[in-house]
Amino acid sequence: MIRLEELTKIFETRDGRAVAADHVSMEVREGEICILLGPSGCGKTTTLKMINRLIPPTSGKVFINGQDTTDYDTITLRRGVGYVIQQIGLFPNMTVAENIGVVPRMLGWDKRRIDRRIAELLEMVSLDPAVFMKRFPKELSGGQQQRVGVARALAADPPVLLMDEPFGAIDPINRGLIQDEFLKMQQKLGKTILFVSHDIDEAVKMGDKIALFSEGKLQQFDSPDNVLAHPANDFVADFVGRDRTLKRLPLTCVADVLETGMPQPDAGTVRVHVTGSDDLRTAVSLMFAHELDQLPCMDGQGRYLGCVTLAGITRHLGQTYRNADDRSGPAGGTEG
Amino acid sequence: MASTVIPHRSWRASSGWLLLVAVVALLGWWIHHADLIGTLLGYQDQIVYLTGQHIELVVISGSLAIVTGIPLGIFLSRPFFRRYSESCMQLLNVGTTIPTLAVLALSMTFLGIGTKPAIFALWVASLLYIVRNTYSGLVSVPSHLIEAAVGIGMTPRQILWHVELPNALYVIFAGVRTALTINVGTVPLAFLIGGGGLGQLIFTGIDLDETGMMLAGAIPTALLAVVVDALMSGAAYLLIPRGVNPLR
Repeated sequence: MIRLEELTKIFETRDGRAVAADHVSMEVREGEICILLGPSGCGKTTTLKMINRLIPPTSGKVFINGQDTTDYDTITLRRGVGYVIQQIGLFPNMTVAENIGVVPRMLGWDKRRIDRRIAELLEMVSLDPAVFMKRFPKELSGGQQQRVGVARALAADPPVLLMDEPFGAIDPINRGLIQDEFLKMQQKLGKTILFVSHDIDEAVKMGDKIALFSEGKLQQFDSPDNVLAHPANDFVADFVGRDRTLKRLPLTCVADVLETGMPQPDAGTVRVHVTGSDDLRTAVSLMFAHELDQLPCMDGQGRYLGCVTLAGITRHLGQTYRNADDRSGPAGGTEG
Repeated sequence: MASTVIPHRSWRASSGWLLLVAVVALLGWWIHHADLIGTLLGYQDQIVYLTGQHIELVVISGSLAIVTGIPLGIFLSRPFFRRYSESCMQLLNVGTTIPTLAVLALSMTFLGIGTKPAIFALWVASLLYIVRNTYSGLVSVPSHLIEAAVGIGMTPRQILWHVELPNALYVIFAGVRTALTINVGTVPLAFLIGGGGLGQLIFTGIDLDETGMMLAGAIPTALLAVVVDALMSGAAYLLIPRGVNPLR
């Protein structure tokens, strides 16, 4: 659990005071991924770096698992918090194994425990220990380097992970792959993660929560679906875009909107199908491609489970707006 | 990667050797032609003795320059000193523009004659290369490496030893190599203030117009410089970790 309390950073510059983070308060529950999102200069990175005191806060507090982090000295705090940066920052003079073992070595683990841990972590980030342990960073691809970067951050099993645009420098195909792997890993690890991004799609994909920043202020802190469905203000609405309802499609899987009572469409006319774990974006894309307004859903053995319909999807997406009638009105409407 | 580096290196190495062989052959021919072998053999005892002295001067002044230059370079690169470090480098630069001969003369005025002022002048002549390369090697370690190191909880000392110095080592080595090679070539001047070394044969040879004697000093000096350079490049190849060693 990470709690930020009125966290503020004011930089004294030659042109006067610059408020980089303005009384930021939020709470990320244990095991959740929170994406700090926003345009450059919005204060998201400053907020992240105040948590491990790479940037000392001007005022405000950070609590990790209920413990005020000012109780720890800076070095102890940082060794207990995993940190991944966009430039990866693997030490070129050390092998992959040595890079991963840096923090455990500093913490005084014995050698056999460190070696076991290194092998375990490399397996976890899908790199064969026998192949990669002795390699140097320059002998790895960008994606492999960042996998090692993540492994290094996880080495001492910290409860909290801070990630500063970790996959920003990786090509789109590998980025998607490494994001999927990371999510799978997180399901097992259940770390509390703060993750800086400027990419709304990445935020929707990776985040349990999104914290949207602008001009040093936290504009909205909510689940991805709520940020997309109910932007708190014009800035958020603008940032998530006019097509924001489409961005909600990947957040729901077919099984959640399945209409089981429908008869199976004629297999002669409908040649495509989805599975229960496909997301709605995939389903809608198939419907558009084949001029259909409903698709059969099959299980792994090819048994028919029910249908997903365009009307059903519309109903599902619209539900949140109907429920919010007592709010200021449907935010997915015509403005923006 | 390796396939592009190795041919390049071997090409450089082989052309270097080719040049060396050509020079040696030419020298050999000339020596034979001038019938100098006998003359040189006549100076054998002096050559051995003075080469020993020469090496001693290089080792002492070079080691002093290393043990003072590297810490000084580290000191100049520390964040608390960054504001002044450029001015200090300028000062050192001005220091090297003073000809070594002048430094020798100056050091003689307050250290007298003999080995001491010679070592001092040689130390001065070698220092800048080591300080400058140590400093610039350290400040050019990419800032994201430092950020990563700080972020995972390394202390400033651990960052220096485990991140900054290893990543600057290649540049530092290059500085030491230059310094020592120049040092070997400067030692002959030490003879002028009674510091000994192969300069004794060179300058005496010049004074007496005895080419043989002069060459008995000059040839070993040249060979010594080549050997020191080769030793340093071998050491760089072996001692710098593979991950940051462009040679392998």
